[in-house]
Amino acid sequence: MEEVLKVSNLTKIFKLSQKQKKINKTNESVKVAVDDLSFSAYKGEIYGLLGPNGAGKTTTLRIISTLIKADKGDAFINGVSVKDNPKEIRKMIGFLTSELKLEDFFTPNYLFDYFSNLYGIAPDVREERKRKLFSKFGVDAFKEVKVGNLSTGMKQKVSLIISVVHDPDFIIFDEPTNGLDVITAKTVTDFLLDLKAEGKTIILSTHIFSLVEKLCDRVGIIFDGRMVVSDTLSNLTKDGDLETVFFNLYEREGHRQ
Amino acid sequence: MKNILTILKKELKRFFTDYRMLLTLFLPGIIIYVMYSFMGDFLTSSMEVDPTYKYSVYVSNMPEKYNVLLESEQFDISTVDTTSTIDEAKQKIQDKEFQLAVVFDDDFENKVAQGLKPSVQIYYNSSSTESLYIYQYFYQILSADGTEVTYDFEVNMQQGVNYDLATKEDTSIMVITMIAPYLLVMFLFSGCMALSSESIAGEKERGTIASLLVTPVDRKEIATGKVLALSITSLASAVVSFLGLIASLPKLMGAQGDVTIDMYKADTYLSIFVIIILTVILFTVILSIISTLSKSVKEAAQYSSLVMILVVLMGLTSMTGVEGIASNAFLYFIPIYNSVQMLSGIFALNLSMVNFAITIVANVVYIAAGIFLLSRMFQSEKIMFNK
Repeated sequence: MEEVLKVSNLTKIFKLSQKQKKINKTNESVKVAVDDLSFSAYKGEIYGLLGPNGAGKTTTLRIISTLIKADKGDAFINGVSVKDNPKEIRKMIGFLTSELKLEDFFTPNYLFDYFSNLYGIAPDVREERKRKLFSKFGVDAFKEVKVGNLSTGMKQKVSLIISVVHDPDFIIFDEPTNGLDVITAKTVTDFLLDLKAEGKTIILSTHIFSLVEKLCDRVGIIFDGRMVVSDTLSNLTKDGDLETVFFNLYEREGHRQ
Repeated sequence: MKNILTILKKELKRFFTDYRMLLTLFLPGIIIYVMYSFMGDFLTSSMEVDPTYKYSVYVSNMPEKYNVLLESEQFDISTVDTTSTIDEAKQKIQDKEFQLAVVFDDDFENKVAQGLKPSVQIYYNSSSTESLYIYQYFYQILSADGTEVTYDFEVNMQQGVNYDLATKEDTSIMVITMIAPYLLVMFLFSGCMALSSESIAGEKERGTIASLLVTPVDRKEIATGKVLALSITSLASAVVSFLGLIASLPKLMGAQGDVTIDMYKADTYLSIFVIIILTVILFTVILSIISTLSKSVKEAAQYSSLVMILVVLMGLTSMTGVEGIASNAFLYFIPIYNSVQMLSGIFALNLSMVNFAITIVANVVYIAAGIFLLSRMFQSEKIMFNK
């Protein structure tokens, strides 16, 4: 098993404003969003980060994708440090989150070319990839329609396509099926399985148990920024389904339902 | 009643606990006070005539009793020409070598004594502050004297004579130097403002900038690309506005006589263009930084309007006209102000190559520093992702 992603002792602390302190009913001026988090993901596997809202899943993924910096610790993709060599990391990864949006004014066709050029993809490779991806997701008919005029599902498909214009070997998806109807959600999960079949490594975050059970080879459960358990799905679920395991851990960690 | 109070309290809390909003509410007043005080001093001082100025005056047939005027403490008249012809004197006034020509009729005293009502012609050049100043003094004293019953004469009363010897070009230069730099800078700024405040803050608001930030593109390249695109678009808008201004200038000035732009040659337009390009890029950089720091387009627009007040005030420094153009080289290190003063200098055909060079170098440095700052800001998660 080839280790592709190694996250070691990642810590991220946010300063809280007066307002946020009141909301959180705390006098502490900082919030530890990610607390000494470590895990590994392996080639050709899908790794799922599972946890409730505010557990630190998105923050972790943002650090790995170089959008924000960790206060302590580091993450390595194929041995390249996220902290020391963010530009190199950006070339290797594809990142999709609902916060990465496409400009409404442009068409999927234009945006595909634009982002391909930013990644320095040769025109012939770009056209071939575009043809494949557009037909796979049924974007062909809409490729000259401005993103602003597309339906939510179609927008998500275009975002998905754009996030892999450079055919990355490592792909990060933050809540990939959030807010999607069942049909679009299925397109997305099918795509993830296709990517896996191509030997790509995927890390995704979610709070949906069924998604993890359906897709993931390995699961990390996060509460309050801490990694409570990180193991293969089969190991975790040998004594019961994922939901039961999750809530048992949740109670053990001192949370009450 | 209770509801009104509840709503009132909530609304006031919204306004008075948001420091960003407070800043945009109260800062304009403070800036206006500071700048106007500063500008007031500046304007009065630049409109004043230098008390040590050495005047050159032509007089012809002047009665002895008026010799006192030439020795007045108000002016240091160092040259009194009585030998040139009137036409020579007029030419010298036009060339601004002389400030004044006072021409009395032949045999003036006798004509006055006989009640023939002789006349005095005073020539001056309104495009020179000194000339205008000494003319007003002479005109007032002589015309006051001339109304006395026992000593009756006319001052500058001949029909069809142009006493103001300022050429059409001089008058045009004066008018254009006063208004064109101000309007030009304003057009440039408003063009930039509309675009830049939307550009980066808008992308932050809509979440599209993050899509760009996950690509391996260098932050400096992103910043430069954005600034250049914004500059070109702003420039296009400013050029259209300015052409409109130039085209309407003759009509606008119709009431004040003919305005010509014949005195401006290709090199004038070229230097104006250089200054305009630098100014647009500088404005874009400044506004892009503001836009990046802002959380929303609205906030960016509010901050930009504060900068606009500064730009207006800087622009107003050109209103002092040809005489008010800053000559101190150090002043040309001040951004925006140097652009305004440089434009004034170019329009006045009074271009200092040293100051021109300083303006170019200073602005290039500011622009480069701004783009560097902008690319650093793109790397800051606090600036790019805080909501």
